[in-house]
Amino acid sequence: MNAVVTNVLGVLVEAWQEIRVHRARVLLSLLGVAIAVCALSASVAAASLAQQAIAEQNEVSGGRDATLSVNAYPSDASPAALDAVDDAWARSVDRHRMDFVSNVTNTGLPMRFPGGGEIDTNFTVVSPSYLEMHRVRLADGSWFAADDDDRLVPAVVVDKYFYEALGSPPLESHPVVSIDGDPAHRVVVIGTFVPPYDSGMPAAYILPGGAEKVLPQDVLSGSGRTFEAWVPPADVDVLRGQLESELKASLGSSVSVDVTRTDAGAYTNGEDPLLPLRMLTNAVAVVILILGALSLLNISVVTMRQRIREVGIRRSFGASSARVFSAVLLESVLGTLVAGVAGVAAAILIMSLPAVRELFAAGGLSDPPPFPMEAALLGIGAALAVGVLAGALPATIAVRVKVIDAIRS
Amino acid sequence: MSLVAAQGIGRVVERIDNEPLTILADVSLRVEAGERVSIVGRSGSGKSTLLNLLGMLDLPTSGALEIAGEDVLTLSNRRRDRLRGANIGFVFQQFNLLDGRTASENVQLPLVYAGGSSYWRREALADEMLDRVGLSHRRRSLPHNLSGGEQQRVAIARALVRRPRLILADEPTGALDVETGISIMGLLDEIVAEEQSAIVTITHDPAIAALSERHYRLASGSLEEAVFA
Repeated sequence: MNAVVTNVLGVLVEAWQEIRVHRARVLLSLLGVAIAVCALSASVAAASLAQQAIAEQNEVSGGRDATLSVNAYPSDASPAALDAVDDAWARSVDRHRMDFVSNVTNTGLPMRFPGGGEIDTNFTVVSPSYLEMHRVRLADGSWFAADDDDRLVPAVVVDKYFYEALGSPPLESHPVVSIDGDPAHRVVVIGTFVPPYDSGMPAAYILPGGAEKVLPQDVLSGSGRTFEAWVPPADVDVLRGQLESELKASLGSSVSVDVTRTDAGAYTNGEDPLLPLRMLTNAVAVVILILGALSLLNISVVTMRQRIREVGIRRSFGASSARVFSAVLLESVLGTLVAGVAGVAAAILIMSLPAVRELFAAGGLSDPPPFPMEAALLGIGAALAVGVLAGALPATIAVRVKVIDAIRS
Repeated sequence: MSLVAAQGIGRVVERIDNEPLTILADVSLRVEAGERVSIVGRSGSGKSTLLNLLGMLDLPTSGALEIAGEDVLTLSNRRRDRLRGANIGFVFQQFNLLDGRTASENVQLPLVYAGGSSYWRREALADEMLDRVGLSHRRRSLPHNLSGGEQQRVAIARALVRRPRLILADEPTGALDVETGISIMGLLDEIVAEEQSAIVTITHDPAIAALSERHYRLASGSLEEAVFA
């Protein structure tokens, strides 16, 4: 046991000494490997960042994985029929214990801002959970709390166009504006959000209770009235069928019920939309890695030919051929491992730069992904593989040499 | 049991034109523990080849060779490497110190392959041996900062640090001036005697050869006893 331990340690000591003694050559020869590993890891990380950006973009519009949209529209659209739909939906939410649900009704209205004139403004009636469900990013102020629905003056969260049209008042002053000039239709701005895309049109979110007070009833009872639920992706297909059948059974044939999946998973079928890009960047990184490996191999073989005498000296003092082989191989592997770690560290550093993140995820991310572990492991693994490949040939040369010829060389 | 028992060993190599070249024809030699033996001969007489055979760096093409009681020709490569590491220390004409390693690291080299307590205590053992050759103050010096004499003293310390039973010295003073050479041989003889190791010295210098107890001359591939005044 002791002999095994001292053998292993001895090989490590030899390999480390060799790297230390020839550090300049080792550093230069490993530079290519470090750059290649950095490129490989960074490309994987960049793809992950871009994927997250696309996913978030999709989630802003279509909801998170997995979102079901329920449209139950009664043919007469009477208040009683609409209440029945609301009750049936509430029962389904309870039955399936869905925590993230929201009303979603979109409408456009001409709105009178203090500066005069009317500007078409988009209002979206939502529940508090909508913030998480659609990754709404707040710029300032706050989002709705559950009791905001009971306010006398309904709360709204607005985009920058709405806010600027108000004259950008401080939110602490609780800015109030009437939708149509009628004092009864006033709303108070409690927060601002970052619009997912630059529409140039004022937009606002409002809770259902507030919407009933200030928005026209025909808008709220229109066919655009929907409910959304963020459900576990594994259950989405089953839930979709169950919701549709139980709502139909509960509401009868006079109500048209349609349950659809709206998040990106509905049309990607689990496929990675970035696969072609990912494959291309990986292919480029692999080519760089191969070039780095060939360069390292070339230098290692030439260096080994210059180190033959040293091998002979070691053999004369009792180093077996297996020992020489392992030391040379380990020397290469240790070197590339260090280069791999440096390459991955450089990739982490590069990918943490704001300019680089902006390049792959314009507009920023709600949930910026950490540097992917797979990218780090891939980089280190590739470095080790290069170390083994580039070390095996010089190690074979080292053990094939005749000791006396080596000493005389 | 003799430390070295060579019986009629020969070494034939194949030349580029495929013609065999006999370097050693019929060499018989016995070396006992603690003996000091010298072998002289002209350049190209096969002195170094004989030393390489005795050190198991090469194998005879004929005859029988036992080192420390082991039949060298029947041993596996691995076993031969171990036998060499444990029993034989080399001193080369060109010192053959490893560049970039300090004197201490060079002396530690055989102990890296020793295993056991020698491995763990290698630094202390190396420093102790450097002290014995009078170079404890140069333990951190690199070979290129040492004089020829100092380098050979480091090489002697390296050869002896694992306490081998047999020292094979190939022209140990060949790269040194006469005065330094004699001083180095005196040191080598002294330490070898203290360690009770045997030493076989290859040299073309009769004055160096005369320091040994038994003397041989290698000529025409054969070994014959020689007498030095």
